[in-house]
Amino acid sequence: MDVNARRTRIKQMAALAGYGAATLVGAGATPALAAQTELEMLYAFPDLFRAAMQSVAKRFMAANPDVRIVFRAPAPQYEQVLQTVLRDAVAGTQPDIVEQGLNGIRAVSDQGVAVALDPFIAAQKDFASRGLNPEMLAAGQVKGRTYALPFAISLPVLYYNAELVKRAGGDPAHLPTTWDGVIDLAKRINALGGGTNGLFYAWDETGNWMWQALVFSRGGTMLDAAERKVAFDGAAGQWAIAQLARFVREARMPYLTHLAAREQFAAGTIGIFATSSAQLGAIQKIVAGRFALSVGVYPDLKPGVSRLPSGGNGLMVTAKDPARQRAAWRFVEFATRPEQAAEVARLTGYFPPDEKAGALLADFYRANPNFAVAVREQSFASAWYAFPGPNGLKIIDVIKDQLESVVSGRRAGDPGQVLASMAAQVQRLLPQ
Amino acid sequence: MKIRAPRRLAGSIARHLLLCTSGLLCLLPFVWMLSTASKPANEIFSRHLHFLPQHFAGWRNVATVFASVPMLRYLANGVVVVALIFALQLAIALPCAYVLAKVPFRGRRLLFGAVLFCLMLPPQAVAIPQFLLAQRLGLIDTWWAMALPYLVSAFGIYLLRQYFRTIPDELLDAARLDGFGEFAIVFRLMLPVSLPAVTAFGIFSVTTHWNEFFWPQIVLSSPDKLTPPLGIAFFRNEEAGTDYGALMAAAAIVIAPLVLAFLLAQRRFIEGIALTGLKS
Amino acid sequence: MAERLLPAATSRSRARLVALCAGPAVLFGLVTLIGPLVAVVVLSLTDYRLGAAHFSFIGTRNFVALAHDPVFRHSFANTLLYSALVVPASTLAGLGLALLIDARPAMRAFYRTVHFLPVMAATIAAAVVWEFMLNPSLGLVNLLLAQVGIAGPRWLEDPKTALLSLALIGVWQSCGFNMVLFLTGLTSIAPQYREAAAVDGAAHAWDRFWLVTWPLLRPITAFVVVISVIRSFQLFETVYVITGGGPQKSTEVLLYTMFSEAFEFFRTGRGAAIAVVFLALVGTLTLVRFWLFADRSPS
Repeated sequence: MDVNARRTRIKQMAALAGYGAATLVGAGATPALAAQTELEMLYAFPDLFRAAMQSVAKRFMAANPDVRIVFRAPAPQYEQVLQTVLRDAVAGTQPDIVEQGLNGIRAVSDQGVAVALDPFIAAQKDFASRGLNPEMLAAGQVKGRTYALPFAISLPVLYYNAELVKRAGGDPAHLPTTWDGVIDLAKRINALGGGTNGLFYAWDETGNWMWQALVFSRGGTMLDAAERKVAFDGAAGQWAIAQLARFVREARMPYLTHLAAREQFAAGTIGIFATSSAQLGAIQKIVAGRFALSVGVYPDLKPGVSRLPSGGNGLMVTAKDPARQRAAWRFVEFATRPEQAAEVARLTGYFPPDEKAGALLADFYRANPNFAVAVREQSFASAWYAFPGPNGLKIIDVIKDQLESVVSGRRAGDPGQVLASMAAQVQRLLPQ
Repeated sequence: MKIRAPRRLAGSIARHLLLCTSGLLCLLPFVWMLSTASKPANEIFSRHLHFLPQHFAGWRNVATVFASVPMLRYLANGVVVVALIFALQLAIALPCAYVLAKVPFRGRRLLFGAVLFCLMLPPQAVAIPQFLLAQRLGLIDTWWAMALPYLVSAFGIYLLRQYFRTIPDELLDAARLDGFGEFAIVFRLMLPVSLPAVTAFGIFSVTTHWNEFFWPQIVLSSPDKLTPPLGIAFFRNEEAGTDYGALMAAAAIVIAPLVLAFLLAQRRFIEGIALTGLKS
Repeated sequence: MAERLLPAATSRSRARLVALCAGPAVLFGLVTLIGPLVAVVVLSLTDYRLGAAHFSFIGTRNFVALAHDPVFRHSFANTLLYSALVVPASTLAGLGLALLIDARPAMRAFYRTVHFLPVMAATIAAAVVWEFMLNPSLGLVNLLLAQVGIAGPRWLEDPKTALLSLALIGVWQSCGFNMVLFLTGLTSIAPQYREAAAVDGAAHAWDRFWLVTWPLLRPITAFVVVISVIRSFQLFETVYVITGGGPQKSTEVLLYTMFSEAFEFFRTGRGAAIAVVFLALVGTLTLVRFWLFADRSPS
């Protein structure tokens, strides 16, 4: 009996060792290249970026055989990238390169996890020739130091189902440029019947992005200049929440998540879909030619007054070891070159932050006017706002809850009250 | 006992009807999962209720899963992790249960009380400090971190101790007379003799840790270390909720191993649960 | 205990034996269980943020803040509500199934297997399947309801039915487990009790159940109820994967709030406070169980 027991334990140990060895071999199975640096990269929105990231990585590794890029399990949204980086940073196991939403750069650099890129940029000879937009470069800076190179930029736009627009008496070549016009069109699409809804506004986009769009487009801001008091309860904010209530009550906006709405828009049951220009590539894929897709500008933009939050992300170097930081910089620099940026733009719907890439895309934009709409809004671009202090992430959640109470219809009749409670709750969470 | 035939038959039929209905309800999600996993996208989105696919797309969906995420690696990881955890648990619990059951010493009651106390402790409540501990030890994203909260299985110690107490002391005395050292007694005598309890412990441990999500989600991040449940969550994010066929196929792949193991060794499983239930 | 050969010749070698055998368990137990238990209570009194270099003690401020936090209050209420939905249903279902299966010998093993299968499915996988089953337009449930002309609700997307949907999944997954526990209890009731009752005039199955079976089943029912309640408090995975606490925090439950606060908002001191509340809840239940059944000491 004891012999059997011992045999069993030996068998167990052997099996364990065997599996362990097999997995280790599997994990490390790369063609035997001496001294290859392996860099881990974390990005978000795999449904939008997977193809682009893999293409960029493949090109980079072809040109740089001594560096291997390994992707971590992509995060669903930017919030999770931030959480992963901060969580892993204490133990020093954070990824080497992250694609961080523009509103999260500050949080990463504040914790001392991000590497300042200015010395690398200064050493890069051809950097200035890229024609990087100064606003774009500023989007990746915190207190004057560059922590992220803008990678892919997006702005809010409106997607239209051209067939439904035509049936409702609209003209896909002359899409409305005011919210009144949009709501009117939505009402007419609703009247078509058959379960079609006129409008969906992506209220639950990550980081309250579309809420900021509403407020900023009216000339408002989230907080006051000193960043101590809530400012979105002013005239701009009141207009913004009233618009959201109008979407629900007048345009009969359905209560959905933006992913479910995307599905329905692609299925042809929602006529107008207000969300990020970044979704264009994915939406085209899901629509799969079922109907003609038109993209229109974000309504009610007034030069000199309106701003729009720049969506999208930058690439940051978060590696600890100086050698890995240098290797990571090589990837970041490569991935943000005009050729790669243009490739990303073609595959997604994001547009590149620099003029040279823009020039590369001129033909592409001519042939695909839908992709060019967001680029035309560039003059309104401004920072995607991140709330200061330790409760920044909680604030995003609080605002989202308040918006949901309107979108669900529960408090759509009293938007002023919703705005007041939103302001009060956020004020309590700001650093004193 | 006088049995009235018609009533007996009616009762029997009623019982079968009820149990078949409830059984169907229990199986329905599995059936739906397999049905969807074998359908192509247009049939899934057709809103028309049918279980059998018109065009079988099962293999294509499975292929999508394996192409999008390294599911085979995840399954292998799952095996390694549950084996590692159980081996460590057994190594720690077995001797402890032995001295608790068979060796009188001062503080034994206190130790047993501590075991009972830990038995009541819900694991998630202490997850935050355990995470910080794993961070400090540099174990994040390793399999040791996966095992960390479970090294000391109060359940295992309790179960084994209860079982050991039913082993007659004479057996041990005879072994000692034969020259067995104490360690030999633990591993070469007690372990084989208490195989039912060890098996029950093993089944409980393997099932719990194969299906586990909360703790692995916190400590694992490398794509090649994920376990099957994390693999599903990863896959779901990748698809962002559009490819239901592949998603159901992924679910089937993750559920299959334990279900198959269960079907092959039903009695052991159920005995194990019963053993744990009764003894508590 | 009668005089017998004691393990180990001397008390010193016995002490060494105990140290070697129980040592690892005690050491690891202190480091990985008891230590963290103390740590979580300590953390709940601080403003620690995950990854921060320093933190300070703030006393019971976290708990006071929790008491005023509408999200936490909602979460606590949801947890209790979920428990109230799942526990009676899955206990009764388990009991009913066990009684039915035990009533006749025909196909016992088969029925037992079929009903236990849901327990074997990984919660995450089952959650993903159920999420699709409850899809308002494409899911099985609403398609079936449409066959009989009922317009199904939005299930997981409607705050009024979301928690109910989760409860449905919870009952589905746990009734088989409870069934097995009850079956074990039933088989341990000697058949002669039931025959004796039959002879005594309790010819109807219902009378037999009420007079004989139920009183003997009461202890195991109590056990099943307590275990079910504690397990229902541990709801996390379905919420994390499917609803994220929504819609409108209608499925926000204690463990999910704890996870969010500690690992997503990085307000780890707050997360620890929620963990302490969770511990208090489970601890109270366990004490209640011990107090009610103090005579059921381990054999």
